[in-house]
Amino acid sequence: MAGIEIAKVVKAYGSVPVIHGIDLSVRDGEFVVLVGPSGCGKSTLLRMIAGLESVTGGTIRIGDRVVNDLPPRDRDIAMVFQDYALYPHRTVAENVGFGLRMRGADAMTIEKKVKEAAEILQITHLLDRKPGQLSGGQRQRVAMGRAIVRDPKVFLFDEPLSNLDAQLRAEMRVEIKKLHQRFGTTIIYVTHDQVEAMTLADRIAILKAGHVEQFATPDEVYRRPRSTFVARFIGSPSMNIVPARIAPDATTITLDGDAAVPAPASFARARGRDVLLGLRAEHLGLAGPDGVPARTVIVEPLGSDTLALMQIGRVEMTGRFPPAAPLRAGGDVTLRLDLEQAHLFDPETGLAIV
Amino acid sequence: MKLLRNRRAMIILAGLIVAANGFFPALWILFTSFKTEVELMRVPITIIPQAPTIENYIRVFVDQPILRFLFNSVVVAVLSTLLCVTCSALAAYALVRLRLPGAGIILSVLLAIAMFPLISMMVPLFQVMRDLGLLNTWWALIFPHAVLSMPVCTLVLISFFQDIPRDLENAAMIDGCTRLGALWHVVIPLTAPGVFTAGILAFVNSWDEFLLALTLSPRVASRTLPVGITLYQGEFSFPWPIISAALIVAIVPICIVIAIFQERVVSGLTSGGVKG
Ligand SMILES: Nc1ncnc2c1ncn2[C@@H]1O[C@H](COP(=O)(O)OP(=O)(O)OP(=O)(O)O)[C@@H](O)[C@H]1O
Ligand SMILES: [Mg+2]
Repeated sequence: MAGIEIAKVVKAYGSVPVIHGIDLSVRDGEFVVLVGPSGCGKSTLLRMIAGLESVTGGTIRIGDRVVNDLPPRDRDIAMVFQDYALYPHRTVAENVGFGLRMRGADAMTIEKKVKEAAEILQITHLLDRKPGQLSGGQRQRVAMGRAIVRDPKVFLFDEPLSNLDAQLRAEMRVEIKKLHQRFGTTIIYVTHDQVEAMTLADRIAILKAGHVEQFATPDEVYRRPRSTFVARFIGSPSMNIVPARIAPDATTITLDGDAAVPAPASFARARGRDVLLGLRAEHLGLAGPDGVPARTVIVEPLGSDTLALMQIGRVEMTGRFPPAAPLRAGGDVTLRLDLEQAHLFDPETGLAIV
Repeated sequence: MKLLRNRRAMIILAGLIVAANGFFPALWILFTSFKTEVELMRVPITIIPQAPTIENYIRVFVDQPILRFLFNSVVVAVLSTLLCVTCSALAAYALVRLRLPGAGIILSVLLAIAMFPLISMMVPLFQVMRDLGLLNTWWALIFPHAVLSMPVCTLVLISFFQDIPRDLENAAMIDGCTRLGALWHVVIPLTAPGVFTAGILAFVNSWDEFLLALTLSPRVASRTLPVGITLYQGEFSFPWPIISAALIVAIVPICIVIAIFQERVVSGLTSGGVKG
């Protein structure tokens, strides 16, 4: 067990920089998820922690050791890969036990530990098969078995669930969370699925083009996104972000040149400014005649609730409504915008105005 | 329909031509080795030996120390194959995996070397071997044979190594292997068909090689089969049946080697994929 200190880490491929100085401090036993769009450098960062990529600058510490120049085998880590990376020519039991064998454990110990791991992951009946004879979900369990059997200081996961169908993914998500609760091992988990990030993480690091945009608890990144990037990335549907202008006396806010809506007192922090107004779907609601007039563009019933894209003046916003809400595409409604819950962002920098 | 049948017939015909081209000389040699010289010269020509005799085979073993040559050939071929495959595997792995600067250039140079005419290297090779004191030893052939086969073996292995997903090795290295350990425990087993293919190429190349064998290692003690076989011809005579018998003795071991590994090689040449 160990924490991980990442300090000013830089990575360049040749002259192309891809990681521009990342600082992350992961506590012992913490479950940290790295999320971000494709190509933002999540895998690269994870591979540097694993020792599979060289570190161009900065230091990575696992526990109290600087590991920059340690080969992967000496870092006491385990990694689960997106494509499982099981050895196709070995049985499941050999796959799981390979790490122990390479570290010189004796046959009895290997067998015992492989059996234990197999029981935890419910793959005991598969031990004699080859990976080619397993389903995707089973392979993923084997890959996890290979990771836990060595009892490493840190688990690294690189999009372990992205090859599975939605249902299996939800199942394995629970499985991974259970494993973490059981072993309490530090985990760094890469995904581009914000649902995985929100459900699994103790803390989420949102990466954007090679730097950390925000590093905080799921609750914090959801409620207090540091920038429009984070706001758009976290939460489904995405936060509505529309241009707006706050009146000089901060009593009203005008959405993109049109309807002026009374502004809450807190908007005084951006009086007289052009801003980006961020409002989550759940903060739109149907209102009485005094609400903001809007037209329903698209209705998406989800069962538990209904999403609807609303046209308000010249802007569009998605709202989350109760399943029984009287909505139909093309219909006129009036909306209540819960601006107390709204976020204000600087249109130039995209950063939250607080 | 007719076109289709014609096409099929053409394919079969083409196959027969290739097979005949390959097998006819071998069969001819086999039959000749059982004929007497008299029968061989007789007109009309007989194909199947009329009065088969093993006299020629006895002469093969009596007239020359062919077992010695056979032993020399086996040693040279086996050792040069091992050396060649080991070096080729390391080179191929480095070229595929290590993101070497100039890997492309190295590859094209390899290809160019593979096309070099051997004769152009004879004199320098002779001088090198002489200076090293290796003339008329196995090593005078083992090293050059290994080097001669290296380009083609490297190219074969590169194409096999390329199919191995990088993460398999990464997983092995995290599991406790060094890079060479990952090559040995993961890459080589998964590319076994490629390794055997390269091995057979190297083995056959060495087994057949004549020019270097004649120049660098002509003395009896280290003489290999291709050179040894030429000794059956006399100053004025050319005893075809005996030479044919000697050739059969030279061909049989290589047939055995290929038969043993054929299954792996064929599966290697036709499958290749290792999607886990
Ligand atoms: N070997 C390499 N050589 C050059 N550039 C690379 C190399 N590997 C990755 N990159 C670049 O580094 C950047 C980050 O890649 P990385 O694989 O870390 O992205 P990612 O966040 O994991 O994306 P994804 O979600 O698609 O997996 C990308 O722009 C990629 O093109
Ligand atoms: Mg990635």
